[in-house]
Amino acid sequence: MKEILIVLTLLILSGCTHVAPYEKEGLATQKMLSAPMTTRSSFDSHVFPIREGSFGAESGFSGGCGCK
Amino acid sequence: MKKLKQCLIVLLFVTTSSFASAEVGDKAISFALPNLLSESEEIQMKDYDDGLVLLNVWASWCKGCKKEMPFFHKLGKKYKQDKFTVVAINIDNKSKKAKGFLDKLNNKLDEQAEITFVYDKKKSMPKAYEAKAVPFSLLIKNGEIIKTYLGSFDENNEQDLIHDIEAALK
Repeated sequence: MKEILIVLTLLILSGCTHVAPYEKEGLATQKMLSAPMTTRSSFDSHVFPIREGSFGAESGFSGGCGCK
Repeated sequence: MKKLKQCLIVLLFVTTSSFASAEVGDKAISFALPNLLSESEEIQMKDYDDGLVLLNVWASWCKGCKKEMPFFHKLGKKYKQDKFTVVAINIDNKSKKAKGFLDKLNNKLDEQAEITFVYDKKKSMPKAYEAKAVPFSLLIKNGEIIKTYLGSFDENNEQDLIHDIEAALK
């Protein structure tokens, strides 16, 4: 039973893999950004801190209602 | 038996970290790869056995790689008479993007970049050198690595490379 658990754990862990720096082409695409739409990201960065109550968590934040 | 099992499990977690990356004093790894701009032409490492080479691994999806190309062009031009060559190995999955970038670069420079561009679709060179970053560069003199550089060159470290080249050319 213990051996089966070890084998299963190792099989699950095999899903975690190190990506070599020279193999990151797929990860370097625009769609992999957390905010892929640049026009929307400035809007998001204004609204997000207000919605989440995380003022100042990103770059400079001057307060406000998030409506501007 | 129990100890053997434990050893096997530990071994399973030991990954490729045991492989050494390129180090000063190592022999440059030989290659025979197509020219990025004219794939029928083959470029080999042994073509540069008696000279100074800056071997650079780059990709069009890497911002730092693209940013340092005009600097490499300047170096290639400045030290051309001293048997110095910049060999830039592209590792894009499709050469089309890299060629598109080179077209833009040549237009920006107003001349053909003084760099030898090689295409390594299988990424055999970064694999062989166990590259820890992209871009990475090696300064190779007479087939031997004399300096390694991780990451891109900018205004903070460009002078270091110029200094290394001039020291190697003496």
